[in-house]
Amino acid sequence: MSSNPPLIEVKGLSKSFALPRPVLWKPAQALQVLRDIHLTIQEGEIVGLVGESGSGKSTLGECIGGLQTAPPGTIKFRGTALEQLQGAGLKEYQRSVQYVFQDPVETLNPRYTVEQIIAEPIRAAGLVKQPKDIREAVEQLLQDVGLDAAYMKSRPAQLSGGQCQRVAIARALSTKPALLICDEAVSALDLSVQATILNLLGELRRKYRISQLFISHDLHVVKYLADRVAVIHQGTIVESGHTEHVFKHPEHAYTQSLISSAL
Amino acid sequence: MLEIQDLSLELYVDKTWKPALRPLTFRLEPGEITGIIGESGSGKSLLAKALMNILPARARVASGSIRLHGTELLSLPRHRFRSVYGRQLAYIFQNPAGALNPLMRIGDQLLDALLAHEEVPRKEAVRRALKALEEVGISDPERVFRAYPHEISGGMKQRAVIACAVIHEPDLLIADEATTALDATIRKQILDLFLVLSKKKRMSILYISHDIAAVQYVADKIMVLYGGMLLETGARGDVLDRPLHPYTADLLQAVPYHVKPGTKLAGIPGNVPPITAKPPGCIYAPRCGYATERCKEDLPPMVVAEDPSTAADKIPHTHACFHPLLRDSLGKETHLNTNPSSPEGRERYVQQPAAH
Repeated sequence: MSSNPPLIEVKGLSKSFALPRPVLWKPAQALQVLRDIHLTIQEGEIVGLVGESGSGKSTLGECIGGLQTAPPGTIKFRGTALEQLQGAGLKEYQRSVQYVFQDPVETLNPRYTVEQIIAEPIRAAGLVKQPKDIREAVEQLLQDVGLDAAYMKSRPAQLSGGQCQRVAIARALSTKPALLICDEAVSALDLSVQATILNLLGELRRKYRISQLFISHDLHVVKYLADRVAVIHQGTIVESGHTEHVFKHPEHAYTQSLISSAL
Repeated sequence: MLEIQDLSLELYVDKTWKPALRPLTFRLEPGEITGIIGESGSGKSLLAKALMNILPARARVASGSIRLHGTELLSLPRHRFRSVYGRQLAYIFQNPAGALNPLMRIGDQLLDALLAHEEVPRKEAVRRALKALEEVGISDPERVFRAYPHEISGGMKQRAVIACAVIHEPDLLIADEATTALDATIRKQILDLFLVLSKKKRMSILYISHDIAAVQYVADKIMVLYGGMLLETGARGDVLDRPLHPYTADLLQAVPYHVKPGTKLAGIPGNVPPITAKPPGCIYAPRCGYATERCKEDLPPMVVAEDPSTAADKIPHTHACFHPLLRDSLGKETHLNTNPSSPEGRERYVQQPAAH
């Protein structure tokens, strides 16, 4: 292992959401969604996160992606705690961690063209400034995700689900991230299209060494794609390890029941 | 039991009626689970809704017939609907939470379902409702009977919905993506329940899903739908282990379930054609590696395969393809028709016997 700090290090993360008060004079209750989570993501690694609905897997992804606040010091990006990131460091983190959501159609602005969708984060990150260069970058990104440049002027409604997901991945890649958080990124896609997106994600790792946190309830997909897998159950990571090892020798009772119920 | 003859459906799109489901013919028998595999836009849900006579307003039956025990359902007078729909034919929706009334106790909803079709004294009705809950694997039926939907888990809700559907012991249970919204551990329990219902009660179940693993687990017979066309039917083993239609073979190669980690998935290039732009010939021709000029122009008819391995089997293995995949005695594909323009050729495809 290298001496560099891991890309993402989660240490002792707990998170709870406040529930509405049952009655005014009673104290508000809290719903504990994550309990004492430990997870590291190295550069270039695909970590699969499996769990059933309500297990907290999306919340963990959101905490790492900065969409939810986490208690101070529990999540470190390249050795620095998230809340200590400022200025250039904060910008670097925001640029480096990108999200791919489940529903490809919902995540794209319907009034933007594909070109505008992908160009917006490039401009925001300030990576490329000249309009001509931005256009070139967009073309390159579309090529990377396997879309023809002719789609630049299309709007999301004119694209199929698989094409929209490719645009969403191109948008996530536009800031040259180090980590992609894929939250059920292939679950909403048709089977014949899902395979091409999985191939694309695998290829991106090989080509650009992009780490991925791959959140899914589909064991087969995680088994296929991930190097390491973490099994989350009721807010706790009950088991983690190399994918092959976990699937062959599940130790925790929950992992065993999960694997035995896979068809 | 249920005979579907040349049934075709149309959808109202862009101010014209467009064919959504090309004529298809099949039979459902008691005690048999028929799985329909299809991607979105394949027409699988429309077919299920047509059988249940709950087609949306923008869809209609264009031609064909649906006969239940010899009675034509498409010309059934309205006053007889209740004796068939909900009683002899039952339907389970994908989302159990949405199918239950949140303001009514589970028990009252069960009684509603029961009393809508039968006149029984209340005591007797309650007893039967409790029995139905028990039969779908609920261990404490009294508590669930009194509970509101929000008080029970997702798996319990789906069981309650199934209890509502099977309380009359219908001849046919249509499960449209009934396990898709459930977690993996619960999904298996529900699938096991379907197996019990079909074998013990001799119920015919039409299990519709895009989840090949689930269909493989429950179905005796499989139908493969794509873009509104029936491409292949046959016994489970025949269709999944020895597919004849290139689409079935490609689809199986695209599922991580059947492929070793690390190997590249054989994704199918292109997309499912939209209803407005369907090719005149085989619906799969634009994405198919074998497609010839003939495929693009003529509609391949459904034919029974002359596959020696299925001769002894009762369920015929049929396909709608001009160039079906051929196999030698070892099950290895020996296709002579390989299209040189196909990117990878077709010899790559050798289906592993799937673990079951």
